[in-house]
Amino acid sequence: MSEPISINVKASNDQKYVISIKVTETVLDFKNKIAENCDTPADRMRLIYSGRVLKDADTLETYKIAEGHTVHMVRGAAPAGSTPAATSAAAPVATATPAATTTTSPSAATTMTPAAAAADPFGTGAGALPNPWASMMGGMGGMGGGMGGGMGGGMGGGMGGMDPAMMNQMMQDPNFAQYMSNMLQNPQVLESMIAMNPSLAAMGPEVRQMLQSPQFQQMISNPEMLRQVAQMSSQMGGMGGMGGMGGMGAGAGAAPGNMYNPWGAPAAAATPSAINTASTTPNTNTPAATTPPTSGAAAPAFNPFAAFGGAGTGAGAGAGAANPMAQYWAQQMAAMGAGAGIGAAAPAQPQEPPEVRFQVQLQQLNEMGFWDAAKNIRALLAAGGNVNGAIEMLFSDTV
Amino acid sequence: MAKIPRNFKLMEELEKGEKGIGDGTCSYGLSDGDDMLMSSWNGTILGPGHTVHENRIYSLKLYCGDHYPDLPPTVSFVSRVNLPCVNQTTGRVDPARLTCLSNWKRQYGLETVLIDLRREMASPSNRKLPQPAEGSMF
Repeated sequence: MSEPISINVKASNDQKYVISIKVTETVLDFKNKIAENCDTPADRMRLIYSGRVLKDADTLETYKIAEGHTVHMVRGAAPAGSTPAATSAAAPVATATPAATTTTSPSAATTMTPAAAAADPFGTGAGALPNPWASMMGGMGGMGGGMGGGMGGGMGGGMGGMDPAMMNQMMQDPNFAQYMSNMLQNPQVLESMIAMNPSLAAMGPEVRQMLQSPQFQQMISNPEMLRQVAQMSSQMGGMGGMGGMGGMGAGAGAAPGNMYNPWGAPAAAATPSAINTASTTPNTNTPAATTPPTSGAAAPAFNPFAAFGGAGTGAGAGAGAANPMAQYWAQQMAAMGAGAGIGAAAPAQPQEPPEVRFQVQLQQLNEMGFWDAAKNIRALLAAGGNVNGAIEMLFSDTV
Repeated sequence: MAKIPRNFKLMEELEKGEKGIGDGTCSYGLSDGDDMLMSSWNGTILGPGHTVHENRIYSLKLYCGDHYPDLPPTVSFVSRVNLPCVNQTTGRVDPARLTCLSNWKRQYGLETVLIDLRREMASPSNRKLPQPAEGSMF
């Protein structure tokens, strides 16, 4: 048992250290090792692991700390009888700790910010939890395919300037569902739709299969679902209103992945994280029309998408160029050959942190008795700032 | 949704506690790692900032009975703390006076309880309550 193990140490100021140590060593040794890496002296450190404060004299074995486990480090008050220098240094403690102890600590937020997403793109967001959004968005992507393609083909590609309200109304019309369904049943219409929409064309035979599949039919004839899509896309203002449908159309790349599985898991995994990036811009209503100039420049850089997305994706790539994160997503997605349209929703400008943006919503959630700030933020991000959506997620325990 | 059986739920919580998921203000783990029933747990709460609890670490004991998570765990403070929901002689948290225990839901976990207690410490009515000397135990 003398193999050193690595233990993650999370400090209250959001710093993380990985310390390699043998379990036979004492907590004091451990503290000294941590002290080499940070500016907190060992005698001021308090380590918490699994609900216990580690005592200096005990060995790490006593606490059964194992490889990869996380120990929290808190700066404690200076020990009694310490030198004046140490006591005068106690003042900064007061300032250091609130930052760490407020429930809306940066550490909670970082998991959601795009920057952190870079560090851990799929791990926390999608991998760990059975996230219903994954499948849902897969479905949405599929819907988008229908919308982008269907609208493009059936309606003469006029979605760009369409008013969400109008869209909504249209969706409630049972005739519309009928029309959609009929249209999709007709191979000729389908053919022309695919031909007209480069994003669908690029997707090859799967699209046809997808559009004709009973699931898709059902989805498209379900007004509730369509409304959700519409709502979704208006929430993702970054997609440029309904032009976003075009963008979502490209997202169909993800959907066939779900349904027919050529891209299976990665597509599903990409989607929820993409939502995160997407929903960080609930209010960026970039009209699709304003983006093409940028998209022109950006498109060559991400050629794979150009094949995938219509105008929506092009715009997305444009936004992507402005934001390194989006670019990252873009590349991820290009690599999977899927979901370009969703990438399109990526924020075009730097955002203030979610705590600030969702301050009002967070307060509301707090008043309702949801006090886990980290969870609240996650839920709000996933719901695009919609309190009701966030509550739904909090109740179903999916965040 | 299918019910998660007790042990799976606790395994999940154990892993979460060991990996230190969350913001580190609350921590929890098994009292005895060999306890196959995973009944006795330790927890710590880091006193919220700008309150009398700032810079304090409170230790708790949580006990998950056979019917957890259908029934809430029993929770008691090991460190002395002056809170209305905590019995001042035993340290036991009165389930009727802590929202998450009185309105217990299956989806809740030990973390929920700890976070709720921490929130209790930070609530406007409790944040300035005189507290016993740090380090004293029940």
